[in-house]
Amino acid sequence: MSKKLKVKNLSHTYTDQPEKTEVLKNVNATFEPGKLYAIRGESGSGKTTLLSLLAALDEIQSGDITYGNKSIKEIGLNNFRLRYSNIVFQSYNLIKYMTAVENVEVAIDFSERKADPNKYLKQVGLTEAEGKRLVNKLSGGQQQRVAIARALASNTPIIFGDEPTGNLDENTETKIIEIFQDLAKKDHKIVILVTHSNKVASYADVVYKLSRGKLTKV
Amino acid sequence: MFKNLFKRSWLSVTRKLSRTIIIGLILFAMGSLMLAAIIIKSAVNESTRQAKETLGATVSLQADMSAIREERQAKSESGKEDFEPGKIFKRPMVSKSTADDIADSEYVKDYTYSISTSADASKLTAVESEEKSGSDMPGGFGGFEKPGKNSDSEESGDYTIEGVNGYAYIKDVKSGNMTISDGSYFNEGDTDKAMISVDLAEANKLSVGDKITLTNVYTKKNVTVSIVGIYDTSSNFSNANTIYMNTDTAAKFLSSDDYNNSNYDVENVSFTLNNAEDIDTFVTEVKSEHPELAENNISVSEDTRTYDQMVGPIESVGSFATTILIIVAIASVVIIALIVTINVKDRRYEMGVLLSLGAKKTNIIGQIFIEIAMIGVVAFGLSACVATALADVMGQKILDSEVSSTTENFGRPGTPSSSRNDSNKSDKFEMPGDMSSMPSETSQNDYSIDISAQPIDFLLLFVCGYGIIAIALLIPSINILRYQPKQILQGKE
Repeated sequence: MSKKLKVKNLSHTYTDQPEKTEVLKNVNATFEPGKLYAIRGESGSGKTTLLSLLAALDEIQSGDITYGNKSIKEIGLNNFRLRYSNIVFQSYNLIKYMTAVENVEVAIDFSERKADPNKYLKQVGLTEAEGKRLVNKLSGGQQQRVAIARALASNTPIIFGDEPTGNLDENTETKIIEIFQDLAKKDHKIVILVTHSNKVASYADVVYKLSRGKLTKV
Repeated sequence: MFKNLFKRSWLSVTRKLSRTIIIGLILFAMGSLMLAAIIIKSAVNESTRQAKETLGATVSLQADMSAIREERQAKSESGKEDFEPGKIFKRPMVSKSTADDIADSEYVKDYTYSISTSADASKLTAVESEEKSGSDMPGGFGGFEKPGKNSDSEESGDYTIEGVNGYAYIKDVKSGNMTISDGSYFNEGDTDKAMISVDLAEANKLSVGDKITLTNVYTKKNVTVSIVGIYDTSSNFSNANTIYMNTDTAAKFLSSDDYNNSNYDVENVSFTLNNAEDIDTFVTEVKSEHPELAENNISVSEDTRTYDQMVGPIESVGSFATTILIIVAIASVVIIALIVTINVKDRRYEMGVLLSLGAKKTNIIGQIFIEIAMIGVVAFGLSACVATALADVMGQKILDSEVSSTTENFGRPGTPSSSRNDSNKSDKFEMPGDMSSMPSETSQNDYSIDISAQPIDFLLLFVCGYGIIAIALLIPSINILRYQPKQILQGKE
């Protein structure tokens, strides 16, 4: 049986600001494998906060997030990041002194299995020659492909994207969205993208909107 | 996971060359100075060990002058004894049998003593001496009976017989004040041979090869000796009527019973130990086994003067090397900590990525340590190439400076002697111009340390070097432990 990612009564308040700001208020949602999800919302609506909590990059204050009916707190945030989730950032966040292949190898090594990094680079449309180049010598689109290849290589069942097409031109954006779509449909992963883009939203199976701390299905 | 760690470290080191070179240069400088200091320190330790073995240590049995003074003072005050300046007192002596018993100790390598007695010679004319009265002994024992008498009699002959273990043990020879003007010197086995002074030879027209017969004033025994050498001395305390011979010859003046039973007094008893480190144990042993020595106001004194003079400057070099080691270690910790802290801030996105991939923070700290350790292997390796030469230059310069300083101090009038008295009441000061304060066998060339790197020195460098790196990483590590992946990746850190 495929495991679902569930958000239960999740609330989050920023206390390190002049005024306490409750960015998430009793958020509930269920994410299933094989589907591409888009979470939309205005700037400051708490999209990235929700993503950070889902990806176990931040501590849960109230409520819970479960994967396969097991709280990620119980799984352990570090362990959850290592075995179950990976995130693709708008700014790519690649290790700059490494080549594309080496960046992907890092994820393979963390997943403690053997795999050919070129397989994942090829999957996102990069050639072996491009794979041998230092990532800061690649274009923005190519770097984002490397970031996605790294996420693929980590072989986790959940892939998050934080504005993954935000820095890309329209053509590249389409190609990247299609890669995410394939990850959901072909690889049967849970793919959750936080985005402003209408185009990304149009490819999603389910679109959520975050407004005033409340998450609603569109 | 670990393969990944080393691979990431290797890539970081080889791809970020400017940072690698800067850290490498710092580690090279640190390694060179530290290894030089370690080499100097171990060379000093080796030199000190060798000096201890070579020089051994000397323990002497000698009259405890301060105790004698106190005793005389106490007796005088209590009325038990009238204190009269110039009155002859019997000087405390050590019997030959006691000296032999102490010499049987496992710590003793060799021992020397002298026999002093008084003789007349019917066919000789004694030399008139200006300094004879009460001061025929260096240091002046005025008021005490002349050493070496086996009788309470105040009778004294014209000639002082000094039996010593060999020519080299004569005090004036040790202090460099005696030379052979004709003939040669005698050795320990040269029985029935003697050396007389130039003045005595001239007064009696004696020359090398002549024989003289001396009569002990106490036992009346006659001993005939052959003159093998004629000495000249520049010491103010010398007596031209002193005749030197070996101890066996001098013992012939004793009665047969006394000689056979070792029942006679000896002086200038000096034990050379196998190892200077045993000195305290030996002194304690002698004191516990021979309590009569203290009762007779004889102190067991260790003479570390030669050792101190030889080893003192070398040990100062060792202290200096330790100081360098500490300063370099502290400076290195600070500099490396600063560089790594700046470096960690520059690499926070990389750390955020690794954390988002599930890396543990300790894994990231480990990566930074391995990176610096890799640079350290090369830097410390290069240090090993230059450190020996550096240590040689540094060590010799410091040693030269210390030797000059020590030589000046030892030659200065009024400088306290380093001879330690067991009662800790030593008030012995070197006399102005007394060259005996500077052992004649010690020359400028004797102050040297063999600077050569041993495998253990390199091992120590790596242990200390990596220890310093580990300590230096503590501060940046605290920063890393505080990092949260979300804050790093959102650029809030």
